[in-house]
Amino acid sequence: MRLLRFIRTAVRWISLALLAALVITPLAQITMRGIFNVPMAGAEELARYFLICLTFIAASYVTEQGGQIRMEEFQGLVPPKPRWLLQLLIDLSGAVFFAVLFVAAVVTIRNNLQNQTAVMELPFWLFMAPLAIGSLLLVVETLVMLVHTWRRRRPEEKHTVLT
Amino acid sequence: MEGFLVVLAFLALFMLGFPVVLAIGIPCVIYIFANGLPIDLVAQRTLYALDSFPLVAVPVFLFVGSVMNSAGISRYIYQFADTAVGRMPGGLAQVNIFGSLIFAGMSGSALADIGGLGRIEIDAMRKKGFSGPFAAAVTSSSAIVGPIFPPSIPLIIYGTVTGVSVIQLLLGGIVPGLLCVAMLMLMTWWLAHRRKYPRAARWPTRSELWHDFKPAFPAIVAPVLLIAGMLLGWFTPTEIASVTVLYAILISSLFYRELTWQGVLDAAYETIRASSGILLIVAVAALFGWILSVESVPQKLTGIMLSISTNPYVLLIMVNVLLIIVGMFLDSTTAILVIAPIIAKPLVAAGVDPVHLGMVVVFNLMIGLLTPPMGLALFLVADIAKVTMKDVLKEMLPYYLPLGITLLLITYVPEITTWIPRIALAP
Repeated sequence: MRLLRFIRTAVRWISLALLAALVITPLAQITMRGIFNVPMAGAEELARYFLICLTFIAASYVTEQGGQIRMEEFQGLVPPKPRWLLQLLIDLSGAVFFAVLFVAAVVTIRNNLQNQTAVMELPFWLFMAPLAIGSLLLVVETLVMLVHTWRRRRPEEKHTVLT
Repeated sequence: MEGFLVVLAFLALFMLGFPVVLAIGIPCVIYIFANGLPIDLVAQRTLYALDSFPLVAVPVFLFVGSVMNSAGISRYIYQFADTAVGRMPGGLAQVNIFGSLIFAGMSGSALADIGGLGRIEIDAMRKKGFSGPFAAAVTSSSAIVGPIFPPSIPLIIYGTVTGVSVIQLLLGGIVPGLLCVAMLMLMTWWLAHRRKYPRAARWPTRSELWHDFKPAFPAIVAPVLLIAGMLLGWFTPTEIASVTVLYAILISSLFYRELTWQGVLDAAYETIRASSGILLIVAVAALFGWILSVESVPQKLTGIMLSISTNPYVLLIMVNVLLIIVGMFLDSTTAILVIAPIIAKPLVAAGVDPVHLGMVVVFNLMIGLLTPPMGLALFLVADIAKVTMKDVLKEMLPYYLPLGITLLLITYVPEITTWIPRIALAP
């Protein structure tokens, strides 16, 4: 559990840093282009890369916080026991789906080890790494949810938390 | 055929309560395996969907909304709206709608409007004797102006998936946003006469108006600066998002002096939660879109729709009916990602302007935020106002009329949307 807590804290701080980078990169580009008349080569690519990192790295945090959008209205009509089983199935299929994403990312990295991105010439493994890391974190977080649902022996009333 | 099966599987899983990302992703992965396609495809499609500069604006604009709420800007907007239109029949209900328009000029999210400004408005309306469900209904129906008036997160997503100019879409939202506000205010006026709602005792004096205008000025002037910056070619829409964050933080810390580090942190965490949730769906939906195009679903649908009629007005009726049904069941982001690539082709082929179509789609889906069972705005407002969904829906009923009329006007008078982009971007 200590490791899980450490991972969750790290994910939150890394996500904060990525959001800051996402705001600052276009501002730096405007400043360099508008004031110094020296556009930053690769600023757009860098911003896009930060967006990819933020989305996948923070995804496990979103899952932990109940932020994944879903429609629970019809599920609420199902009796408790089958609903509990359905929720177990959802958690389990989530873990399997994210595991497939992880394997897909690793296979893609392995097949493209010599490649680079166009403008900034980032190694392809670095470009694909957020998907691999993010999907692995999602597997962990979804398994934690699965264990939680299993131990409760009854369904959760509501999963989604709107901000 | 397999393409339609993937769509049906998505709908079935979604109804069963699977998170949207799984409801879309699981049928796609099964399709890939069943057809013996390489697994690399899953990773590449998912990742490349986010390799888009316009999408960078999504988390950044969400951050603007959160910062405005954390910094108390929403309170000053409310104060000014109260002074300016509080005397109109309907009093604070009119203030609620007018306040949403000002808020919309900096934030592109309906949920940020409800979560921040809405909270203040509902409390104030209750104290003045309005019922909780009515306050909730006005708050949620006026909040949908946020994603119509520029900046707008759904319009950015629509532009990204269909390849339509984001600048034209954002400019196209100005008149529909104003029209929607006017329609909602008219309905409130009529309800106020019938129900004898309270209002301010008198119109404000010039000095009172000036007193409350000053603190709200930085927020009011923001959309003018942003639109001017975009038209003069100083910034791209994505860069405007970053400029707006900087602007919001600067005015919050230097002008309002209410933004704390904890406030910034809370706003950032809220943004991370909301944006990663939305963008993960965008990523997985790219795989879904690829499967639909491989299976020629848009082409088949184009054939079916054009065989019924080639008249753009008839096609727009069909799209409106489809989107109203879709909006009841899908959240707006998912609906844009799933539906827009399918319907854009036949409609544009029949002669509908792509910017006009974007506005019809997005406005329709924003009404979907207010329709059960999947009305995210209704969930949130009922939670904040501590009232039942059923009571909010009852009070919402009159407001579906102005929203419906606005939708019809936007649909059948394309110039409402295309006029400003045409004159602003004329060579």
